[in-house]
Amino acid sequence: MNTEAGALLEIQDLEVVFHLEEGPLKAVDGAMLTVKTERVLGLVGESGCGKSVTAKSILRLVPQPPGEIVAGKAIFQGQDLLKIPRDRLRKEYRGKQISMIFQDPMTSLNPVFSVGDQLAEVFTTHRGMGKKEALEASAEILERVGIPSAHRRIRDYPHQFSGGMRQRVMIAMALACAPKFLIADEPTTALDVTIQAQILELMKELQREMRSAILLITHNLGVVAEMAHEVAVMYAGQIVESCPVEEFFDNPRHPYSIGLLRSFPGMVPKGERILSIPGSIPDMLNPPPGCRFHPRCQEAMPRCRRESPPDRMAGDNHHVRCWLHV
Amino acid sequence: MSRKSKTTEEMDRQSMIRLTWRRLKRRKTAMGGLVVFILLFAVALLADVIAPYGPNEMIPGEQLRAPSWRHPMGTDILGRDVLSRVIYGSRISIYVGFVSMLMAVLIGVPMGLVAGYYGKIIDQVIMRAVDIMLAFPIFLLAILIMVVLGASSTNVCVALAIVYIPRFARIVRGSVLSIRENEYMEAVEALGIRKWRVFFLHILPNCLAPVMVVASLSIGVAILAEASLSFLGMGTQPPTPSWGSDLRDAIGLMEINPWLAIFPGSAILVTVLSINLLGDGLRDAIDPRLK
Amino acid sequence: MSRFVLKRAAFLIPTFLGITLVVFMAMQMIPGDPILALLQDNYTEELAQQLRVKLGLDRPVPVQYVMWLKRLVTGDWGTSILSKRPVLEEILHRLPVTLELLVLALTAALVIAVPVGVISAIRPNTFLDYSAMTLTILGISLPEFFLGALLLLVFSLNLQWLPATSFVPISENLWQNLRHMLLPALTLGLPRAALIARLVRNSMLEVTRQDYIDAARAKGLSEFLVINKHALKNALIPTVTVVGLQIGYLIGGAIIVESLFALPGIGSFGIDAILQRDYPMVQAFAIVASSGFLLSNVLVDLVYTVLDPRIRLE
Ligand SMILES: Nc1ncnc2c1ncn2[C@@H]1O[C@H](COP(=O)(O)OP(=O)(O)OP(=O)(O)O)[C@@H](O)[C@H]1O
Ligand code: SF4
Ligand SMILES: [Mg+2]
Repeated sequence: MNTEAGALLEIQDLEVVFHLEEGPLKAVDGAMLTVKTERVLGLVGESGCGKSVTAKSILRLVPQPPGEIVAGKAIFQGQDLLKIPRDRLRKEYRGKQISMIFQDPMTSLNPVFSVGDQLAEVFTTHRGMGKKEALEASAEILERVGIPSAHRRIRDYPHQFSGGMRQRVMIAMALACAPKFLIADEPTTALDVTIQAQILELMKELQREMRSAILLITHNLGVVAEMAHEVAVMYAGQIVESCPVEEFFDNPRHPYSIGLLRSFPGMVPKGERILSIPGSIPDMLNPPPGCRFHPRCQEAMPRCRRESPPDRMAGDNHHVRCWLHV
Repeated sequence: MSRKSKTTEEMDRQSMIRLTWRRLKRRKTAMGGLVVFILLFAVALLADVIAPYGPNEMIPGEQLRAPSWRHPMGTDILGRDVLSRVIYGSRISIYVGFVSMLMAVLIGVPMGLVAGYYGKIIDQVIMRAVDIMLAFPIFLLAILIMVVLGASSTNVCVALAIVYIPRFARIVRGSVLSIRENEYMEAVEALGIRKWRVFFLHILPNCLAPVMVVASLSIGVAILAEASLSFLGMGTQPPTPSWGSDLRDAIGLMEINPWLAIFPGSAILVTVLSINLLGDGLRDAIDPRLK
Repeated sequence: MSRFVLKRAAFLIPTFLGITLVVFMAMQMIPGDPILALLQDNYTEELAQQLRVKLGLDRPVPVQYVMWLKRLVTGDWGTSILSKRPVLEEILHRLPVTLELLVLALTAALVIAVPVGVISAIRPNTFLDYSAMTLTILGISLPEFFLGALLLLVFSLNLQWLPATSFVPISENLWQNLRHMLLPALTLGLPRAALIARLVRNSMLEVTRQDYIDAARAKGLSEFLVINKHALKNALIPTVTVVGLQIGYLIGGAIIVESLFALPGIGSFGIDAILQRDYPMVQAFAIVASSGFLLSNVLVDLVYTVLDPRIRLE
């Protein structure tokens, strides 16, 4: 029944290059993603595979220079966000219809402005409120995300909040305009385990309440199982598999996905060994030819070394990029 | 085992120097600075050969001439050839620049090493002295030392060395402390390698990078300071050719012959610029993140 | 006031004592008999002995230092050998000129440096950035006296827009005073502007890489606010530290600039005193200039706390 939901955001053939002194680095190479209305898409993959860059590309936050979005589309409700004028993107989408939460709440709040000031900016920018009204609204939303004595605390500075509290502030900031779409880039990675659970619970609650869709980036497959409706797996700048969450855990197709599942402690049945994927992610400056995963893949065939596998359907709503599934 | 770690570390160091040099070579402005500075060095060495006249040779009847083929930079009020004086003046600048830097390094680096390595009272004493020296505006301290020592180019070297000693001491102490905190140092000490070996093979080389950057830039500061002191009449004394004191003499004559000021001034500018370009490039090459 | 400022202020007194000790020792080490310099032509053995006792010069050196320090703190700074007037009076008389020069130079430096640094940083590696950075490296390589000479040559001697080496006190005619101060202030300020601009650029580049800048953009803030509010305030924090150090260079430069432009400040006066061996003036000059640097650093710390709540609320 869930599969009927329409696409809210479609990323097509996204390519992002960083022009570095050592040469061009293709951080994202033809990524495809679909986020459905009011649904949570979990994006997983090892460190450095291009998850954050993909996410930032949606709001065109990739630093330029050295970065450059060289190709692709990010179609949000029929609008290609990569094509519209920057000013329109800023006024209509950033922080209003699409919000973002960052990995490290310690660094994503500006240390020299009060929390209230930073929250109020969202209201003054997108709601045309005056300073005072905006501060009032800020206190209310802080209250909503569970910060006690919010009216007093809006005068405080980020360093006076704990990590979990700061992430609540970030969530408040992101949800201030009830966005249709929330990008959460590893929102709990930097937090203690107990705080992680609270923050996830809060996000889940607010997601239901505001009916926003979420692109949830994480390393943690447990979080995916808990939160996501769909899963996309990224490897070396490409989406190698994407499917509904049950399908991912029950019937993963791509050797990399299988490896990820085997190497995740919480996912391995008792008594079985945890097997980490041998080798490490490729040097993105000189990626291997053919399938990017072939140097680490136990199923690799001669063809995998020469030709890059195409994106194919391996069932309902199940995309795989592997020569085993063509 | 210690032999092995020593050789790999040495290799690392050599490859770091090579890497730094490779990065430096890529920076055109730094290489430009290096080339210009080498040229200036050559000019200072070969002044006797290159200069058309002696620095104090007064040519009768040719006072205050504008630049011409005979005198490419004109002549001063005593009929001396400005080009020749500018050429000879490079000697003082380069002499002061290098000698003061070397003195400061030779005293400041051991001071910092001792303070950082032994800590406790020695560190306290050295660092309090350093703090007090650093509390003076740099040029004022140089002036004060010159008052005590009396005006001469050699005393300028001493004064500037004293001014820079605390700066080197502080940098070196800082890096010694950060190296000591390294776990790898604990490992080295746990292996029972003798103290002086630790000192010379591990700590000293690791302080080298920041010292090199500050040393290169301090040559420029010293050259500027020598010129400034001489401009105030407190450095190199006439008739010894020095760009600063020649400029001092030129100020009053600027309405009549501005070239007298422009040539020695430009000589200072070019020299210091070349050093700053080199020093900047060196800093970027040693630590690209500092860009 | 925050702990930070108090902590810094606690260093003030020992550092000041250290400065006085260095100056005292320097004066001790000057070759020649100070009594001879004080009495000059009136020198008789008897007068000399009297003066020695009066100044405590017959006592052990540490005692001399304490006595000297006491006189210093109580404002008894002795008499200028040259002008025969009290040293303190002479200094106070000339201090306003130097302070005005320093304030104008620092203002000019900041007004030029901050925009140049910011613009270079938001357009890194463009023609604009390269031009600005070329100019700034020229600026930091330029000695003040040569820059001053060039400015004099162009604006006073050739174009005749501004007066050359003369002075009108601020109390007499503000406009004329500023006309006389413009070239000296620029001479002093431009090399500092060059250095500060490079620093602002570098710290802006560093700051704009931070997550909170991405977060500010993601909120939909205008680029103007992102740069001039969120990035700049953070970038100014390291800048302020360096500006504090630059005040030391400004004070040194003021000595040169005052001499070049014949401004009647304590810098040019100090140099005259040195060249003419007026040692009571020299020591007063050294102490005033270095204490001024010390005090300016306290001001810098205050600015620091205004900018950075992490320090203010420590
Ligand atoms: N500003 C940048 N400049 C240069 N290279 C960058 C920049 N940002 C990202 N990259 C490169 O792009 C690639 C992808 O980085 P990205 O941050 O998207 O990884 P990630 O999947 O989010 O990793 P993590 O799980 O560690 O957050 C990396 O190889 C990284 O080095
Ligand atoms: S394409 Fe080949 S190498 Fe790549 S994942 Fe599939 S089997 Fe492995
Ligand atoms: Mg990331």
